[in-house]
Amino acid sequence: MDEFEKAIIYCFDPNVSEDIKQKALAYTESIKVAPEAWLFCLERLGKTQIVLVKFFCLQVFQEIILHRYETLSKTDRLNLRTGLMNWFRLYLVNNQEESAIKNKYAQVMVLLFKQEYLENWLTFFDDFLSMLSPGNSSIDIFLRICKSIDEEVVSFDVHRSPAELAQNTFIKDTMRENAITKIVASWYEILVHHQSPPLINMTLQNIKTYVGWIDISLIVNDKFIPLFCKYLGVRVVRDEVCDCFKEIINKGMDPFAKLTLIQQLEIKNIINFAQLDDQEFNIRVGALINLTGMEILRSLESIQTLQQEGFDKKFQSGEILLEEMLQLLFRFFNNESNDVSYSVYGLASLYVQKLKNIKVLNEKQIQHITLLVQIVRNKMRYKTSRIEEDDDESDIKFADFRKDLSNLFRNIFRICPEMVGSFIATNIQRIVENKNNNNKNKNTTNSKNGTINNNINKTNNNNNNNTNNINNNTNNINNNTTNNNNNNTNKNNVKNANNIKNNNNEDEEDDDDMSFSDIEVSIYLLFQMGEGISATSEETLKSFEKFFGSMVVVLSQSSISITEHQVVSLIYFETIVRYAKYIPMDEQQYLSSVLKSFLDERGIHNKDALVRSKAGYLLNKLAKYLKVQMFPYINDIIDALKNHLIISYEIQKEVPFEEQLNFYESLGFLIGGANLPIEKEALYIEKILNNPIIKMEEIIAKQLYKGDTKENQFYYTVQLTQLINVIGTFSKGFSSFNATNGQLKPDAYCTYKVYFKRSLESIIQLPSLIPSNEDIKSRTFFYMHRMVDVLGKDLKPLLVKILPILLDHATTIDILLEFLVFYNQLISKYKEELFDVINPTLCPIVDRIYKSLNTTIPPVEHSDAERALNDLKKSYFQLIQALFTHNLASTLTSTLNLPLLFQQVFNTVIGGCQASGSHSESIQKVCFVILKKMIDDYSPGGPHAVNGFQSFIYDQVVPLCFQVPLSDQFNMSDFTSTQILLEIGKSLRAIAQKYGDEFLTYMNTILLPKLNVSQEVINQFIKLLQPSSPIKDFQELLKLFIRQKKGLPIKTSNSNINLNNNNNINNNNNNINNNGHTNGNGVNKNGH
Amino acid sequence: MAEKEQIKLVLVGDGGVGKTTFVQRHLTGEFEPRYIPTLGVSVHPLIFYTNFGKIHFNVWDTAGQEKFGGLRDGYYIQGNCAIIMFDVTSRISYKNVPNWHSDLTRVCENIPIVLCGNKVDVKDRKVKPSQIVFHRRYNLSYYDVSAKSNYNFEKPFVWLTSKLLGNKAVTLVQQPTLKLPETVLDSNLMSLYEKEVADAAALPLPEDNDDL
Repeated sequence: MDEFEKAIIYCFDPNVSEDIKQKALAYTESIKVAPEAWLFCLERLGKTQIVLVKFFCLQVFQEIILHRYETLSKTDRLNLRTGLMNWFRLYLVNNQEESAIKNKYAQVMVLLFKQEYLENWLTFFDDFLSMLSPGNSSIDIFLRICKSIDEEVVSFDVHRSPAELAQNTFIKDTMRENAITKIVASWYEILVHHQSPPLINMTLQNIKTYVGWIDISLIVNDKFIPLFCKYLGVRVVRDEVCDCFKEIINKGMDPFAKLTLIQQLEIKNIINFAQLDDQEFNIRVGALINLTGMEILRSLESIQTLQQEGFDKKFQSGEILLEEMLQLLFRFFNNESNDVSYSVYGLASLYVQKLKNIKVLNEKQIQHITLLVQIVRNKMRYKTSRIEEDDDESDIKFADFRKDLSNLFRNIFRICPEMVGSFIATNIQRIVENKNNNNKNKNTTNSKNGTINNNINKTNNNNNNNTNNINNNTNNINNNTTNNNNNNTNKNNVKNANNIKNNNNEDEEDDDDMSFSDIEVSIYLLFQMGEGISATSEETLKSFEKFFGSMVVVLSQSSISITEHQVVSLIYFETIVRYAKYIPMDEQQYLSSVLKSFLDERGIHNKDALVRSKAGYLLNKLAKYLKVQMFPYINDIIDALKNHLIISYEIQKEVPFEEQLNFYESLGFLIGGANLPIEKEALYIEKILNNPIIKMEEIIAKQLYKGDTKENQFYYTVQLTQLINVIGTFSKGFSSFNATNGQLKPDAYCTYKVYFKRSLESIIQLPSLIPSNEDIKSRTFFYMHRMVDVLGKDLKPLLVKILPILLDHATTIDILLEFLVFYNQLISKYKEELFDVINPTLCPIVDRIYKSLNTTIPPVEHSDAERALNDLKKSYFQLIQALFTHNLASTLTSTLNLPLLFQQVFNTVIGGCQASGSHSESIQKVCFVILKKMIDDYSPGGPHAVNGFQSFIYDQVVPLCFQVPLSDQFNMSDFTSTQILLEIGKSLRAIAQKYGDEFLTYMNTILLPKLNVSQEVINQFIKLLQPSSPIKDFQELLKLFIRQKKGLPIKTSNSNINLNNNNNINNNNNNINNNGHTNGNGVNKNGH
Repeated sequence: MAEKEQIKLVLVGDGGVGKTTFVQRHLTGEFEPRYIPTLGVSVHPLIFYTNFGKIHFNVWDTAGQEKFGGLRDGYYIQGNCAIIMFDVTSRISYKNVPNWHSDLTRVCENIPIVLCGNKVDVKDRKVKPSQIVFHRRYNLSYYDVSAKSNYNFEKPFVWLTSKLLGNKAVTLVQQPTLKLPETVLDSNLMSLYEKEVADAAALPLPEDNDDL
């Protein structure tokens, strides 16, 4: 090993020390950049045996060809080319060389080829082909050169410049003129005469990458196709053969040529010839079928489009080709492996998509989708009976596949609903009969009692009835089909589907028991029809309503739901609820059997936690859908849920509190909405509420909550919050107000109140007993909200006592806000009737609010504390507004509150009108609305006139109406500000109406002159404040006035209003004329 | 595979996609990096403890290699496996993946290769999961990664180990010691990406070869 070779090795060895490496790199770099580098490397390439050295030399050639080729003379270029060819001929073909070197040599030769082929080296391929010889490496390297040409010249994977693309196109054109036929011939020779699998694979890979841009007839002919078929039988090369076929079919061409090509290839025979003994290979073959079928569909569609445009050429065998591909589709789609099935999913999906656009299907097409439905059913079957908690990757894949299959199924259903309906009905009937027979056999073997025999007979009778219902509904569906041919076809297809199903079931059944997965998938497909039905016609929708109803009856009356397979139970309950609204109600037994499956050990008492939870959730949904129909079963439901309703730690291990809450809500709506006889209603309510009420009273009486510690997780306190929650949630089903007209119900209909009053007596104590628990307070407010609706007028006498208690414990802003929500609810519900309650409590409440708002330290900007304060401010003003809206304004002026409260409230409203800062516009608006109501209410002649209110008006209100819009913070372009200005206009007009000439004089002589308003404008103000003029005109004047004062551009269509100040006092004649002009315009305006 | 054997892992991709940041997350790799400055290669020994024993990768990181384009594929020689990395915030770095793959497979035939999309922690993602399809054409594996947050750091190495051991089920018996994360990931966004990657894998490959 000489110095040069050592240096190369040192460059690439990470373990060599840095100083030595630096010297080596410097040395090799100097060689690389030398003018004669190519010559030096050619010499060394011919001598060395070291892979790294050879690779370095090849890299130098690459560098020179790519970046310094123009510096070489013609002679040097020829010598480089000759030298590389000689190395190939003398060394490479005669030695076993590493792939890295062979590949690198191929790349270098192709880079040289790109430089020389078009102008100087047209014999490139002839030169190499002439040196090919079996028994050495020449063929191997030639194939690598062809591959490298694909990478460097043809492939679109790599980004290339437009200039390079143009050159590459020219190279390809030139190759197609002559060289390609020779290259293809060499491929053929290799495939025929060489037995080496690596060479055959490489050849096939070359064909695969070239077929897209060469003449297809060079490959699709009597010589190559038989070879492909032969190698399809050779395991180690068949994958590449399959890919070759795919690339051939994927080649771009017009639809006629494409179909002719596919016909020539005889894909059907090819696939029948292949040995489908390996899953990976089967997936490749499936992809080939998928591509072929999709290309046929697209070509047929293109031809159809051409024919519609007047083109009259036809392709005779298109339908035959499609049929062949579809038969292969059915085989592969039904493969045991989901990966193989998925390889042809695209074709199935596309075919069904095409059928959707066809109005009337022919017999063959109906057969196809009948088969597809069968296959979809098979592929959807679960492998295991439980859904695992931790998501396994294969489970996720199966769920995704199932989703795709469901899509396909729904599309088929939309195309041919009658066929699918019959298929599903047959499936359901079959699983039901199978299940019932098994149970009957078990019962028979276990007992000989007459009672059981009677039960069996009843079951048989039910089955017979159900069978008749199924047949009737099926006939009903068929009757909707007007086409007799389709009718016959449907029958035949159903028969075919059943035959196929029978075959499958014969293979899959062990003993007499149908597998859980068959049961589950049958119900699941029924469930999926509910999604597909929405896209069908109105007529189909109606006919299937009966169908779904009958299916539900069959399922619920069968033994299907008696299963230990989780997936079956889950889909059973989902399906029942989906179609609940179609259950026939003419016989009670139907709904009864549905409910039984929910209420016994199949549903909410199931041993499986997931099924139990799902059944509970769906039972609540069922109660919402079928509330009225379920009224007769309230007692059964209560008895079944009895244990589930107990609020205890042990029960909640099985039935989480959230589920319990749902049960209470459903029961409340059922009992409250049923219009039950008084005694029965009381009985039911006691069954449900006695336990929570008594438990709550016990915890309070015995002070059990005092034993709660952090270690105990505040057990009793938590239980109290839950008890309040369930009682309040149950109360949602009850109301003292008629739902239609909002009037109070007679007391005779509201005997349930006694229970909620009793609860209220306990609950209202809790904030005092457990003062530091925020959850208790929050739940107490929740309950109080409920009682406004539930107790109606009965709540009113209790409020005088309740409100002070609640207010005492509203020690945080959040709780205070909850209190105010409740207080506003009371005001809006009871209105003036609440005077006696509001009058004594208003002052303490307002004081509490003021105390909370007057914080010594301002909250940090944009903080939660600031937001809470803003919310409280808004709630306060909403409260004041509510008093006026609901006829309670007299509470502010009552004997009790007038001295203490009126002035303060008034001042806060004035302050609110002047509010500034972010989000203050909404407060401003509310305050101006309140102000208007105050003017109406408290001014002379108002319902609650206040002595001395006049001074409030002149000292504060009227100046405010001008100060606020004239301030810098008031943004005229803001929508809220526009509304505020309108409100101000209303207020000023109201004052004018109340105080008459006195107010007009005040404006004329005091306020407006103080604002430096000209006399002309003042006159207009006086005119438009009169009751006789439209309020809109005054509001418009006010708006223009404010804009002018702010120096904003005037946008007005009313040119008659003159806002100009006229200071020309010297010209008396002009003044007279101007005044006259203005007056005249005014008169004209009024006249209009 | 004996413990003493070391695996040459070639780490390639455009400059700036985060290759060096990625390899430096593993703290054992910081102890004895060997740098070949003018060649542009750092060799980082990264060690993982798996249910098949200790696995020692020598990661050849090509930081700054773009200055030495002419020599860049020389250090691929005798590579046992590879990672091709691109930056999900840079479309051009994904467009160049085919070049890297071509150069790599020319020198190292039939080695397992992982494609990694780095910087998924950055909100402004340009290469969407549904657009990443190159790996499916050539039987590579793909992982979203985030070097600065250590997201999915170990997954490419586990996959490569599995392939090198003949598709055995490889699990880490000890988590590698990594640098502390420099950025906090949005776990909801990562879950969304993972779902999108899985969904994209189920879609048919686009017919035209233009990936982006």
